[in-house]
Amino acid sequence: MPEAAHNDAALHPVPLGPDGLARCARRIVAELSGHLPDLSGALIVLPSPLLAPALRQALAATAGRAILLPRIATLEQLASAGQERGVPDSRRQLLLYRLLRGQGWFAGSALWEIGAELLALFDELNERASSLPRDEAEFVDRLERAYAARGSQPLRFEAELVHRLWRAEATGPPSRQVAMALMLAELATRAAGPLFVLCDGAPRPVERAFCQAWSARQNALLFQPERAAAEDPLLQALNLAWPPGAADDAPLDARAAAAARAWPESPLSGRLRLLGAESLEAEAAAVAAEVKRWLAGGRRDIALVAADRAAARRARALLERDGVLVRDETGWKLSTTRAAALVDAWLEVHVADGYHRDLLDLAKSPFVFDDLPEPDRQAGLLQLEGGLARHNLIHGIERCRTTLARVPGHEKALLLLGRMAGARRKMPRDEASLAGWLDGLEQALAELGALASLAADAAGATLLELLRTRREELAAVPARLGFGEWREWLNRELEGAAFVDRGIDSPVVMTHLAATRLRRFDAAVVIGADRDNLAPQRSRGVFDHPAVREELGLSLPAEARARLRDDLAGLVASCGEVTATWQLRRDDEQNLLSPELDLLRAFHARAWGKDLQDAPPAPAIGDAASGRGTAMPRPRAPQLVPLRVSASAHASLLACPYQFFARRMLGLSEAQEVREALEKRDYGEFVHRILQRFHAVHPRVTGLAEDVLATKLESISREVFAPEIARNFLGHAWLARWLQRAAGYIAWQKGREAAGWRYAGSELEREVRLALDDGAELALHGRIDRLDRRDGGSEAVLDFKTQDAQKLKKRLRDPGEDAQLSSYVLLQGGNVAEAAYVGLDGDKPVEVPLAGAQAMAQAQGARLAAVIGALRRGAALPAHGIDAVCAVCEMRGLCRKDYHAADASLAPAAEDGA
Amino acid sequence: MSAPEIIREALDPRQSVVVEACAGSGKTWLLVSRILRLLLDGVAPGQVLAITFTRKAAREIEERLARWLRELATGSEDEARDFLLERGVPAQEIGDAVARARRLYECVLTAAPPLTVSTFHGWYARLVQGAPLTSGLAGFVLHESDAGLMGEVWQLFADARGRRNDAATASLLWLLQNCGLEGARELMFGLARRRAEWQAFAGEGGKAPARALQRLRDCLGVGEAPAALATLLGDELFMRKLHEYEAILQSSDLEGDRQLAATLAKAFTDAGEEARFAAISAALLTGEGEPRQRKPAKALDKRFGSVRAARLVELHGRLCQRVLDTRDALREEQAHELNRHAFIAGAAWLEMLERHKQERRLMDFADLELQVARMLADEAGAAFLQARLDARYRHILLDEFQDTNPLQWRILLDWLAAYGVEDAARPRIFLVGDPKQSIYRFRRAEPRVFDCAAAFLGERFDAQRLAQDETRRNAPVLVEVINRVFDGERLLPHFRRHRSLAPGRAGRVELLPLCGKEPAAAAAQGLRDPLAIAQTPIEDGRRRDEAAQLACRIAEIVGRWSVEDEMDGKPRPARHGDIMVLARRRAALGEIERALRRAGIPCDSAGRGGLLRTLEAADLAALLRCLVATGDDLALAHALRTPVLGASDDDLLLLARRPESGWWQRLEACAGGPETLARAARLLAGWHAAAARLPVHDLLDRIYYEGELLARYRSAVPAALWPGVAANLEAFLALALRLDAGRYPSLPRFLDELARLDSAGGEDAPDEGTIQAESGGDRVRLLTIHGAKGLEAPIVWLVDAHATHEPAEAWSLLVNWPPQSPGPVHFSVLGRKAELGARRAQWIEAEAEQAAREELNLLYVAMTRARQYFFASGIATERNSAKASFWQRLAAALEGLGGGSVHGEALLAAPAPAKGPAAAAAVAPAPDCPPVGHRLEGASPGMSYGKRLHAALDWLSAGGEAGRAPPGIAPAEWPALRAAARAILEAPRLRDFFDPAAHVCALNEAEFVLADGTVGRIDRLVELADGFWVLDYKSGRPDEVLLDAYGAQLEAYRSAVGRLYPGRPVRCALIFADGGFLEVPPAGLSPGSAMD
Ligand code: SF4
Repeated sequence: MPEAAHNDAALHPVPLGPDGLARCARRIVAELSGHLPDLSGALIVLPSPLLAPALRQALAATAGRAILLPRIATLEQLASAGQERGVPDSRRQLLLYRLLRGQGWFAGSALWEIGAELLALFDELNERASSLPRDEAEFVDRLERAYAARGSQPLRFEAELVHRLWRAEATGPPSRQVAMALMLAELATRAAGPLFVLCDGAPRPVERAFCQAWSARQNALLFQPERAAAEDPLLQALNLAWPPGAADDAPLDARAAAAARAWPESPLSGRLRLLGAESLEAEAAAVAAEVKRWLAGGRRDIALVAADRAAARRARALLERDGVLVRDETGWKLSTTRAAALVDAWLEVHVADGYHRDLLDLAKSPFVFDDLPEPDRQAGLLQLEGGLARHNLIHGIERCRTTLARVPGHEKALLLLGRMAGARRKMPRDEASLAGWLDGLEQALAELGALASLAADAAGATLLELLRTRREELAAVPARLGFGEWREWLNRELEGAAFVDRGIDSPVVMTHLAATRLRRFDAAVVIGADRDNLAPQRSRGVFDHPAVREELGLSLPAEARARLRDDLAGLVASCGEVTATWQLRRDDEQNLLSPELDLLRAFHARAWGKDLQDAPPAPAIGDAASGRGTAMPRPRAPQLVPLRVSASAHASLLACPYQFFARRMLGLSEAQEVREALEKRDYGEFVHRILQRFHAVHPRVTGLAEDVLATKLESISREVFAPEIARNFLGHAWLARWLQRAAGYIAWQKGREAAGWRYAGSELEREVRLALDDGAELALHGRIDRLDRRDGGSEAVLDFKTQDAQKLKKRLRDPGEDAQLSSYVLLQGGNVAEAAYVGLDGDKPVEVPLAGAQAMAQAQGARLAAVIGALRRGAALPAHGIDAVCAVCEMRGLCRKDYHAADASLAPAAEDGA
Repeated sequence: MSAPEIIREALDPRQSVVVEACAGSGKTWLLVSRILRLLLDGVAPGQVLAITFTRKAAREIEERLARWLRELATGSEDEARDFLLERGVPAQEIGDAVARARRLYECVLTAAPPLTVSTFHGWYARLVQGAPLTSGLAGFVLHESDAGLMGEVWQLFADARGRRNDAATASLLWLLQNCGLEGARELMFGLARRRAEWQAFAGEGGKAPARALQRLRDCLGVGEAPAALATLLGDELFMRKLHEYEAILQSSDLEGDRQLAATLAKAFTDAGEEARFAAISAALLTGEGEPRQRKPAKALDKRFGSVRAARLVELHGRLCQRVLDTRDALREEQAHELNRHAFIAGAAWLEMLERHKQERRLMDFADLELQVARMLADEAGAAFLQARLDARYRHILLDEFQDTNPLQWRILLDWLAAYGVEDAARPRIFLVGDPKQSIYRFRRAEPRVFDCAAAFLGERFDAQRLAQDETRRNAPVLVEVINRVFDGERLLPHFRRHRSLAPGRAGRVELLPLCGKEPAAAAAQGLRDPLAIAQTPIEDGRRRDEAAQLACRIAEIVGRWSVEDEMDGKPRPARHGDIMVLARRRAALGEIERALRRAGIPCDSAGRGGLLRTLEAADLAALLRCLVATGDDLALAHALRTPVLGASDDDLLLLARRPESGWWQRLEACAGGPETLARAARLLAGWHAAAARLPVHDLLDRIYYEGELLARYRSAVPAALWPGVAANLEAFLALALRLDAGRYPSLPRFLDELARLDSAGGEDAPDEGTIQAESGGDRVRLLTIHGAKGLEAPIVWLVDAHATHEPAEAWSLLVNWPPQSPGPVHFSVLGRKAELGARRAQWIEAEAEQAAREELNLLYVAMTRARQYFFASGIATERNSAKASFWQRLAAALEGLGGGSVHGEALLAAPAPAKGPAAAAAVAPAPDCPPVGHRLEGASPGMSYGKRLHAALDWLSAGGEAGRAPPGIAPAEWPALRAAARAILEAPRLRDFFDPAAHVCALNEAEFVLADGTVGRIDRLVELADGFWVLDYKSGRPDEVLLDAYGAQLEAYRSAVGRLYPGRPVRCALIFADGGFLEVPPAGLSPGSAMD
């Protein structure tokens, strides 16, 4: 080591070019040459732990022999080994929250955010070794000056608030950040060897301070990347495009001309490519293609700089398909992991008392009930899903339990529900300390059988670790929070914490721009190089007015832009090849290229007449020539033709044979679902029930007092609707809708009686047998809505519909196409003289009769027998429903109608002419 | 004024201007040019604020400005000179201007604060971000649509009513009973959408309904309690006359008269005011509510005698008038009742909505407006805002101003009015718009704002008012028809005759005959055989005829007609992409789309928000669903039938006949069965397992990949549909990616969210994928007129042109906010049409007139989209509306231009040389690349044991609290580590290694690197006088250790240290948690043999 001339090197950083680490290594080894091979006495401080491996290699390469490495660490790592750790941020936050809450200045829901903004402000002040004026009045004064506003009440309030809290912070126990500075200062007093500090930009105050303190006892050297000092033509060209600092004031075309003079060939050519893609998918595909091209060309270390996380994620998926795994350095928000989703699902179940969707979401989480045998878990799930739907259980864990307990076949579901109920009991009742809530949560998770599976999952382990750490940090703060407050806090925590999946090792890494500083890659792609994603970092928080920021010594927009340019220049200069991709349009809006790259592109075009932008390769799914479409299905299944069909199956067969096939022969139907509100068909159901009960009491209304009848009908109606209304207040509207029609109904009934008809029953199950010509018998069955009889025995079948008469008339316009009334006539037999729909949606009921009921019924019966006979002989069931039928058909996914080739839609059935 | 003069005036940076610019006149060009001129004039970018109506337009302005500036900076000087001259830069200043212009690009690019081009809402959002802490707005999230949220809160609101018994509950109940579920919901949602107006009308707080009702009562002329009936029936004079009238009727010898008398008699006997009034009305009025005919006539004289007849007629007239007056008063009272309930329930509902959003810290556009209006209205807040943000704006440019709403204007006014006329800081305003193109009343736009603002700016900002009626877009023939249709139209006072700036452009307007009703289909012979013949649709075929006609004409036009190319202006044969089909309502486009598909004509789907309704999206949803709900047989069957799994009906039949209970189990049982099913079973089983751990997007990606999804769909879909299907498949993936990146993803939630998005409809529903240019961009575009705003095409076809606008149904809001007024002057709820009284007639008429004007604006917008050719078609309607339809207006105009249904002529294209099928861009096969990267076994180990033990040793020897774990050590692990550290520190035989006095030097975690780059870390390296020791910490006990496992590692260390210090002896040892020590001899020697 050169003699300890404790110099001021700390204040005169050594400039670095694009091969920064190698230069550092050379300098360090030179400085330490007297100590070889044991360099362990020296300390090297890095801005990021990601740089350590490359630095080690650079040192080895420089030394050219085995060495004991110097100690390599970041400042944070150095400080964290110390005894004094300061107040954890989580505790500062909570304390501030409590303080703000106590003041009652703001709405509760804003408090966490306001607190976070204030802390961010204080941290930035600390970080920049800046401070607010001691005196509150002076602070107000300076703010007013910066805003050019005098005597504004809100401003004063804000200034006072900020100042007061800042004072409280500054005089309280040190924050971690402050503690770190103290630690480092202390460390410097024990300096025993030379120090080398690498910065990835202008030195931070804390770096400078540490260096300076160190240099009091030992040599200290500060390295700083400085592209102005570059010798590399590429970087020099970039410097002309993006002049570092405010030094160069020449206009763009003059700078471009200078560049063209200096280098007849563009130093950028082959080094940077801009790819504008038409869509997200196209961008991802372009990224994947670039990476594969590089790999195939022998490049190895590749960075995916994810300015746009969604596109990057999509690109990663595409790469994985082809066996290119990507190591993720930056990670995802913890809140976007499935483990966090489990916690949220649980909290939803807890707070909404088991709303059915949440119950299923929770039960289907891969983490819960880990301790149950898999078959039990699966059976429980099926039982739960089915049970909730069948019994229309909207929410209420206890209600679900009691209801399902009454019906056999839900044992396993009850097991799951029991666990959930148990877990609910573990949660604090109303208010608890943050630590108390966290404790309750963990116990609940244990009860749900999720702890072990979470711990076995990488994200889950991170999550548990976070919860435990916080619980410990906050144990000492007794502030009590309600569930909502706590949950808001938890959401913010999960949003703020990152989960980095370390399960993949690969030279292809996903990272962010700042993390590429000082590193070298064989190639890199910047994903999402558009104006919004690849933008200078924006300051956020309480004071974002530039004048104020300047006044307070906070960072300014120009700094952020300079930083972005430095980073981009650094990336381009230290990678063999860089491609930047972006989407040309997004949500049908133009998506502009990042201004920095736009400028570079213009500069390049001007200087060398070449456009840096390139078209991405055409997507593989381009032309449209080869599709044939799907043939209309025409299945045949003589073995499965049913010999017992209902009236509605009959209707289905008429409307679309394929629908009949899917429903009645394959036996498929829509899965039952929980219905949260009354629907039109439920309403019809209710009305039927009301009328049935009414006529059970009053089969005849003639001669009875109007008000007696009206009262009875109304009271029955109210009874029938009561449970629905109790469940959902909006049910009142349906009841009212019916009651408005009730008087009309009684009048109509009187009219029928006057015409000689007597009520003879409703909801009547009937079955009739039709002979098929192959000798078999077909049973047609159904339930008749209402039967009337007249003296002399002739009968009328009626079917109530909560539709208006117009629709019903339309329905019967071609009576051969309406199977329902005809089926009822067949079912009731030869005495039926009339058949009609009764529309209940107008002021008074309207009868829409089926003309020539008996003849039509007979004809339809014969047709049904013939069709079933044909099917039994192997006739095909084409999918040729008309649009009106298809619109409400649940079999669309099976018949594939949307994809039928245009000419297949109405194909004649010539080949089945049987 | 001529075009150059207008440009010169409008772009003069020193003056404020208001420009009314017709469609196609180049508004954006003018606006961007003005920005350019401002910058040239030395205005700092941060001092410019440009506001336009949509984000899309804002982006276009930015893009164009950037492009121009870039061209100026990098183009030649001559080009720059021409460019600036064209934009009105005075010739004498041109030299300087060019030099300055060339620097603007960079200056704008890097400006801080930047130049702001934004929508009103974007700008408000920034204001809100800069709001003082006192406003409580910190941390709000902007969400663009609240349809989903409203539905959710609506149910909560109802639930709350079910639990509480307050005025709001009674009112909601009343509304439910009297307006029905839909009506009540419509009212409440309408109120929520117009809550800004409501607040401006009624104010805030609990008194709002009372205030609003007071104002309404003044308008309706009613009191708080109903009184009309009581007044009438309590009027003795009236009742006496009624008696007299009855007596006269009684005396008639006509049965009918005596019956009426009997009816009337009930008015004196019946209980209940309403029954009595009904009796009176029945006697005096017809069933339709008109006075019965009672005129002096011979017949009457004969029946009653002339004196009594005359008296009867006189009485009848007076009595009827009273009854009609009372009926009107009753209607107003009913209206009051309806409004009372709507306001009371509504106020509670709005409060709940507000609270809900507060809690979630959500804010939508309407909230933004309200907040900003509130802040600006509050003096202190306004000053603060000015200080923070606005003070810097010196130039404000307002685009599409006809689409501004009164509240937005209010906000501007609050800001602008603060400047005195002499104020040096007073900004200059550039306002451009076209009241004729105002078509956004449903979004509360108020075209009257334009004139109001123009007047204000003229007065207070010396703004010059300019009008630009020359279009660069429309061909002369089109302009002729446009002038014919709109010139002199009372409702369009803003219309002045247009002139085309493209005199040579060919053009043609054609009106197709209305499609009439089909003759009724001949009655079918006997019953249809459902297996052989499909049903005949019941709907009438007029729409289909119209669509078929369109498809047929398009087929004729494409390739034959000649259009001017948009880029180079040269004629070329028309393509599909040159055609835009417009309709007023989206619904009308469905049939068109089907027809075009049938005809194999490529078209962009009209289906915004329709992604989830497409079969491909339904397929994917079914596939995912059967993975989380294995009991859902239909979902599984659906999934099997998708092209991905490709099962046939026979495959399904096979499954249907299997004995297992569920289809999932049946499929599992087929794993060894027929190929298709076996493949399906294999894939589904894999995806089922993956569904438990993969995020939805990654799961889908796997399905796409392993299921060979794209290729399989492609062969299953008709060629004409493929680009659309491909785009949708891509869009679905993007949707998954978006939802996945949100908080707390899970597959069931994703599916629930899909269902919610689908049923929410409206703005929330995801759009279908955009078909990319290179995969078939040459497609007919189907758009609503609203959607076509700002677009143009050589050929435009307006369909469904004979439909007339349906006036608002019942249960809507009637609001009138003249822009001069600080708030609405009228705000009420409309009941059923038939029950409306006369007192609100002026507001209703004003509303109707506005609606009629907007109708015309729509036609104007539709026609002006066409550069060359315009068609209109429609279907004949049964009802004859009093209003003229678009079709009728066009017919009249063509009539005036010389009759016939065609005006102008189409140029035919020179036959294009036959081209082979467009060769698809060759896709370079992706180069083979080796697999890269590998998955690490097990979870990451975290800190190594050695490192942790170190931390413990350091902690203890540095005097750290024994009760507290050092950083990075889990508390649970600490006691064990602490014990180990103590054991080691206390073990006598280890003293040499840990006592600084006993060794030459020691290094913890000694990192070394060899010349070949190999890196290693030794737990502790100690130099004793006689050589080096490599120490390795182990957590177990000596007897548990498998020495072999460590031998190689220690051997590597040994050789590394050997290389570091050639010639020095190196020994290795393991140190255990109990303080145990075991030397490991060099390879070949057995352990312990080297021990002392
Ligand atoms: S969607 Fe239409 S064609 Fe397909 S099965 Fe249903 S009714 Fe038949």
